[in-house]
Amino acid sequence: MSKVLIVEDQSDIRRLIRWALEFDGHEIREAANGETGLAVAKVWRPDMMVLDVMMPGRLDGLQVCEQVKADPLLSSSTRVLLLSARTQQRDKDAGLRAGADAYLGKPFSPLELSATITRLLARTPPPPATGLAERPD
Amino acid sequence: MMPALRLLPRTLVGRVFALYTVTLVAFVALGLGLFYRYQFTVELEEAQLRAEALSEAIVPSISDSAVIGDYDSIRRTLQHAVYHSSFASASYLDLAGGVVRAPREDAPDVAPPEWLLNSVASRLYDTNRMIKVGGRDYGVLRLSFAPERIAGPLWHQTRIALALGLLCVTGGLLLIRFPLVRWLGNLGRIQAFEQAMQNGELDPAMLAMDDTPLEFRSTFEVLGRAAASLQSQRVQAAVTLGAIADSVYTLDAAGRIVLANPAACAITGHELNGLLGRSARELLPPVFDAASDLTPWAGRRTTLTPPDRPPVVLDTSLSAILAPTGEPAGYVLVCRDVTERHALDQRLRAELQARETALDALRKVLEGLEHPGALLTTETHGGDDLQAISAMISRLVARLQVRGEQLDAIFALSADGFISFDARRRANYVSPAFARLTGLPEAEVLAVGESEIEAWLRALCDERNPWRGFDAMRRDLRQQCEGAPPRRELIELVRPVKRVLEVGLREGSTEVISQVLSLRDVTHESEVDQMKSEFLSTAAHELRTPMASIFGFAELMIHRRLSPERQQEVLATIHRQTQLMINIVNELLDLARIEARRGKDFELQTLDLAALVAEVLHDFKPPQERALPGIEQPAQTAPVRVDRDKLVQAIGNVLSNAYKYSPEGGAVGLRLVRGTHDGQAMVGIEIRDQGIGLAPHQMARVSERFYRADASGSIPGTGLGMSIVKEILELLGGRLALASTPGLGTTVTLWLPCVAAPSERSMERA
Repeated sequence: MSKVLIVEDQSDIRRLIRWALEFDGHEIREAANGETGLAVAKVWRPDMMVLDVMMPGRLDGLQVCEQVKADPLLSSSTRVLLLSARTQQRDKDAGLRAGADAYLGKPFSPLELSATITRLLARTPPPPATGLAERPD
Repeated sequence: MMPALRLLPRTLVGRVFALYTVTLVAFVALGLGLFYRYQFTVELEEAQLRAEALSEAIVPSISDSAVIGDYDSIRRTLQHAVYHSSFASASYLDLAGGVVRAPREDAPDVAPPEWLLNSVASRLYDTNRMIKVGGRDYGVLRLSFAPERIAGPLWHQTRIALALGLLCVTGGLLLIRFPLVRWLGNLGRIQAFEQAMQNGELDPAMLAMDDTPLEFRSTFEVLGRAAASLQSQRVQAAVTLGAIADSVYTLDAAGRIVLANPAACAITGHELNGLLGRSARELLPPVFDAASDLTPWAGRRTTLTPPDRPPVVLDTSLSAILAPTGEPAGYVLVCRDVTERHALDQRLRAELQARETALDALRKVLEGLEHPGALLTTETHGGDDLQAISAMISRLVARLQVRGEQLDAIFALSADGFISFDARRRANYVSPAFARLTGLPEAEVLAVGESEIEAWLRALCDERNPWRGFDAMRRDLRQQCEGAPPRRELIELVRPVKRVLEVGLREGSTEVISQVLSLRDVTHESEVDQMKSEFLSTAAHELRTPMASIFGFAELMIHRRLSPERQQEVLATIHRQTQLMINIVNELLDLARIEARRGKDFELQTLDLAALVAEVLHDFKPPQERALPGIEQPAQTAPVRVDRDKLVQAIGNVLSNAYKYSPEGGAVGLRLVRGTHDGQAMVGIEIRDQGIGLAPHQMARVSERFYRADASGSIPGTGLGMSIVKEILELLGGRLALASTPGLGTTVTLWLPCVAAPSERSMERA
């Protein structure tokens, strides 16, 4: 059972993602903007983050992704999937440069999202830091 | 007189000689005459005396003989007496009449001429002597003279004297002849002198001789000096004639050449000797072509073809040398070689002709320019041509100046800048706008080559997006199809200010302008373009958001088993998002229509705003059964000129926002307010809510398309409503005003310009 954090400003889309991923049996939490998402991620340390790129507020999806990937505690264990209505190649490139593991354009297929996330999570995660691994959750 | 004069010898020598001869002959004749006379007389006297003496001598003998009568003795005596004497006979006549006679028998030596004989005979008389002895007469002794014996010697003498005289005369004449001829013959040499002068072989010493008489000597000296002076003049004249390029012929009265200078020889191709004496008419036929006689002329032009030489053009003149009688004694023919001048004249004439033609053409061109399109019907030729052309040129120049000023003004005012380049691709004109757009001063750019200008422009450009340069643009021009519009090429300047310029290059075909580089400031257009494309992209993005929900939920519905509640929720979501999409599309269309028509489709009418607001409120259905807006009606009417439907839409949008952005409830108020803006009386619809309010940075973006103060999606909306309001208000001459405090609410005022009181009819209709 993996932990998935959805960071998306639109409630309908959050609900859609949740319903898509609940079916796979993931534990899901939501955040409505970048700041909240990053804060939750730092505490909850999700295995997977589904990040909307375009969000109002101080941090957009790319910035959140960069910060996650720059965080030593998160970078090794947390995979990031970016969602965006911007689907041009240069937007995808910008996302991958920010460290995202996958990039999906909107509108997206919930099934494909689910499959992508399952695939990403199936990859052998790098061995977690020993201290952290032994600490009881 | 005349016959005597005629007898006079013609020469001085002859005259002197004749005078001398006459004198000499006269004197000799006189001498001879006197001598003859003397001899004649003496001879006769002597003969008489001799007769006397003889008779005396013989008388005694005779007397003796007579006495005795011895006549023989007498005879012998008589014979003796006449022997070798000058008597013809001696005879003795006795008284008885006997005659003893003793004639001389021998013939005389010299036969004198008859006249002399007669003359002598007449002067001599016989000598008769009486013989008397003792008183008695015995007879008479008679001695008869023989005249021929006296005249003969006389004649002989005379002849000798004559011969001597003749000899003397001859010798004297001969003697005088040589010096006379020698001394006076000098005069004769003057003729030779003259001949020598004629031939130009004058020797000044020719006349001077040692024995020349004094009188002649001085005369000859004078003559010699005169001749020398004449000679030097002739030499001068000859040198002068030799030196001048004109050919000069001196002709005699018959037209024969007597003198020709070297130029004349050269032009005829003859030696001087070959010319002299020839008829000028035969030698130079073209010169005398028309002239039948030698009438002097001047300045006649003739073409002559000398042997072995190209034709020459001669300017000829013939002058007569008049004798004192008025008859022409000779002629001087002067031929000047004017070939070059003639050619020059011809060229000049041709050039003048060409100039006249050019002038004419120029005049026509000028007239054409002056009256473009007008057909030239007036043909004015003559002296005023130049003046007319000058006048035309000044008019044209004035027009060109005006045109130039117009063009300068146009260029100065034109927003587009350009540089033109000459044939060597150096800038020869820089428009003020070019300098303004690029910040490159006109003075620095002028006469600069295109490569340098290219470098400057590149330096101004954004480094990431450099200008391609002239060569690339020219390549494009060549590759481009005929008639195709030139490719739009944009460059982004970062200096002097950020600008987007459209660069165009056109090639000229003239020497003056080889190409023109034009710059158009499309910064605004480019921004608009960018805004449009951003708008498009934003609109697409905004459409994707509801589509993402619709697509995703629909897929979930299809592939996942959902609880009935969830299915209901999915459908509701899909419905809601579809509604949102419809709204977005409608409002986009509204906006597009408003923008495209720029108010042209507005149906403007004057109506009372208060009445309109009341009507709008009457029809308005507040969401979620909330209370209608509270209204504060103004006391008087507020006439405005608006498109009713558009204004209703704007008011509706604002009212709808007021309700949407006060989700917690709270009264929405509406009232009409008055104010002025820029001196214009305005009436405003103020709509006030007590909603979430707007932060200042949000307020600035309210009328931006798709901007929504609520990003959570909990308040539905397209983000286009306020954009439409703003557009409508501005097209109606009004404006949108916002005031807001976050958390306390927002006041939106739709300001419209007031107009004069509307007519009753339109008020009723409103």
